[in-house]
Amino acid sequence: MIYLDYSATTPVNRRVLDFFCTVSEQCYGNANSTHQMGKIAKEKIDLASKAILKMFDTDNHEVIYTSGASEANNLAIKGVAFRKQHLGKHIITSVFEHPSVTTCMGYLQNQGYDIEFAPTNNMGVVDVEALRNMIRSDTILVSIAGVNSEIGIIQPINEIGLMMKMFPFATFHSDLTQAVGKIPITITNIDLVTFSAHKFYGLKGIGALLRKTTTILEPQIHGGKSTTESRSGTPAVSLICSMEKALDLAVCRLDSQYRIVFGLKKLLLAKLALIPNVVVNSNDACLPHIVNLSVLSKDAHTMVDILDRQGIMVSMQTACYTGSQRSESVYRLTNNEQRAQTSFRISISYLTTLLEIDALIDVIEKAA
Amino acid sequence: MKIIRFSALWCMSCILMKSRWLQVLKTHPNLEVIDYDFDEHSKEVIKYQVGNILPVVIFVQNDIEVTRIIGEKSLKELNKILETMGL
Repeated sequence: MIYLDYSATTPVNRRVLDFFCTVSEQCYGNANSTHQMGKIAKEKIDLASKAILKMFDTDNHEVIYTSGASEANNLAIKGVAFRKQHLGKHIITSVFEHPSVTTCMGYLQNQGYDIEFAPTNNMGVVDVEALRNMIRSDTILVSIAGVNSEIGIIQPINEIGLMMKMFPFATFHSDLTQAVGKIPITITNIDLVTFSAHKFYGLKGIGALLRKTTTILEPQIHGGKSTTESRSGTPAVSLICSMEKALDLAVCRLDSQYRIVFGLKKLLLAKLALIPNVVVNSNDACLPHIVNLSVLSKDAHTMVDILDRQGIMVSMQTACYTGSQRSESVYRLTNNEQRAQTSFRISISYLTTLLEIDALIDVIEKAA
Repeated sequence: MKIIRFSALWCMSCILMKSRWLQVLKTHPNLEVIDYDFDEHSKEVIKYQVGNILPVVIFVQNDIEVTRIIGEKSLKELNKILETMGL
């Protein structure tokens, strides 16, 4: 089996899993309880939160633990929209967002919010100046993902964050799910940050929304006092601690792992360039971990099936073409229907080997 | 004349088109609008033979389909279509 779908999810790191088991066995108390076991659990969470904030080099954010990135995105977007609706209903996002962001936008539009998309250049990168010009006195939220999940386009979130300082009435949210643990990140000028543990070798079922303490959210889950006012529920102590461990490992190894992935992508692109009928949709503005490509002679579903039958796992995205495999993101980037219909995503990791790349190339070559 | 719109929450083109229709409808207040969600209203999706591209906007007069607009169109294109229909 050759796994090349690391942007969908990653295998859990053994040390993370061991830590999860240890904490589960030793700290089973409810962090909302006032007795000794509850206090121990609460202390564990507080320590994990401190460590996470230190890794992001911030002391003015709060960690709100969620079930994952989708919940964090929902809390960020709806939480701001509902809390600030008396100030305005204008929201700006991009065309390269995860469905958990886009669907929130569709939902809010049906509630009477005015949703607009920031213009991007021919590489898919948000035009910061144009975005600045779109901000109005009734703009309450700007939500731009740090890295697009399908093509890997990296957005200038630092630049956007700096620009957003000119508009303190508007909240800046960034979904950094595909960025955390892969590239260096500065969140100083971002009000709300989404990430999820299973994208950096942590466990599934835990993610977080980092909230700047000045940003107030309308809770989306009500249910009594917990570790945060923004999200009720019994805190998942062992998952929280395991996420902190996974993040620590990812951040410590970020440079070395990035170099490995960068080298692998270079090799992969060089080999793909020699195959006729193959077009790479990812560009120089993209993360090395993601290579989106089209085998023009095969629709995406067929190609993913061919690879799967050979034991190679990749993925494809669906969007506005119901029941088909057309990629909305690839269409937005390339304005090419054929590429959108035939695109699929290879996502590599520091665990990927040269032999795996060769096997992938071999199958693509035969299929193309 | 009424228009029947099929869209989905997750559909970016639908979000874009709803904003454009909002502008168009300001100048065409007599158009009656009926909205259906692609995921929720499967009976209507089948009835109106909505294909696999969203959004779909169907113009209906006296219960007869006059024309339909499929996918994204610019504001200019929308206005031109309406003009051609004498609206």
